[in-house]
Amino acid sequence: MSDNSRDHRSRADAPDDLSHGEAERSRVVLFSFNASTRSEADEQGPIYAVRPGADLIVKAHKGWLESAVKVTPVEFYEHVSLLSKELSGGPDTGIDLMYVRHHGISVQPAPPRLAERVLYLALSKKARENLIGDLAEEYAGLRVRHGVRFANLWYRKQVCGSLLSLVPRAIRWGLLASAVEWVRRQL
Amino acid sequence: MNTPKNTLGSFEEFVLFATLRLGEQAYGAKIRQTVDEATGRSVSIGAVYATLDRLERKGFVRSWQGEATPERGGRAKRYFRVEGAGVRALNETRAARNKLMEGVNLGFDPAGGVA
Repeated sequence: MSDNSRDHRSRADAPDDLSHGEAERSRVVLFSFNASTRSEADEQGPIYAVRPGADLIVKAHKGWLESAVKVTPVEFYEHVSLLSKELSGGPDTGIDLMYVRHHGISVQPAPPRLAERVLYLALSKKARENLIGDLAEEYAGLRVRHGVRFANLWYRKQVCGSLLSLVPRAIRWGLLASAVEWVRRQL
Repeated sequence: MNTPKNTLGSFEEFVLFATLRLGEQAYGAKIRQTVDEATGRSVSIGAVYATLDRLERKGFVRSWQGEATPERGGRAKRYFRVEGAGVRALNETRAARNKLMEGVNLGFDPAGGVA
């Protein structure tokens, strides 16, 4: 996913004012139909609103909502059905659609796919679910707080560190012994 | 000289303490974050799980599957709880450490002050 220059928009003067829609390239601002303040919206859980009449913003910007504005429920549901089809986790979207709730959708930002795939292949079936899930949870939080570049770097470091820990010690020592022997022969 | 059977490595200690601190919310990611914050060094989730698996084999912790959440890509959490044997191992490790430190002047007060 591209993490080019961010399109920052000025925030509303009152932090809890949801009358102005705004989003940053690597963050999504969430709104709720029934909430008049941000704190109420947070309690109700995440949903997304798409600008009515706009082209699917997800498609245009490779997975991130460029802007979000408050819409009526009817307008929202018209777009949700389209959005759910587009956010099906294709290679270019960078987003995996998790599920559609009756009042919104929850979107999980996707970590670096190659790193995730390597870890998936290295882990046992039993370990995959828990460990990859833990990383996904932390990754999502880091992405919101620190941006996509930081989160991606953190994820890749975690995968490398985890692989070193998970490879059986006998294999690690075997690899080290082979490397030492190879160097000895070169000298 | 007899040595306690269940002394722990330093990372095992950290992981067990973190699990105890977190109580009912002790699962992989939280344990990792707790150890990371306490030690100030980057800790990989794989190292945490490798340690927890080892501790579980020794009977020091018990694990069970929790709920899946969308934030985790629909994947379940694995919760951990320290068993009695784990608490005993922590105490034995601390006792062994205290025994080794007897009479050793490190130039500071272990309670946090300056000797």
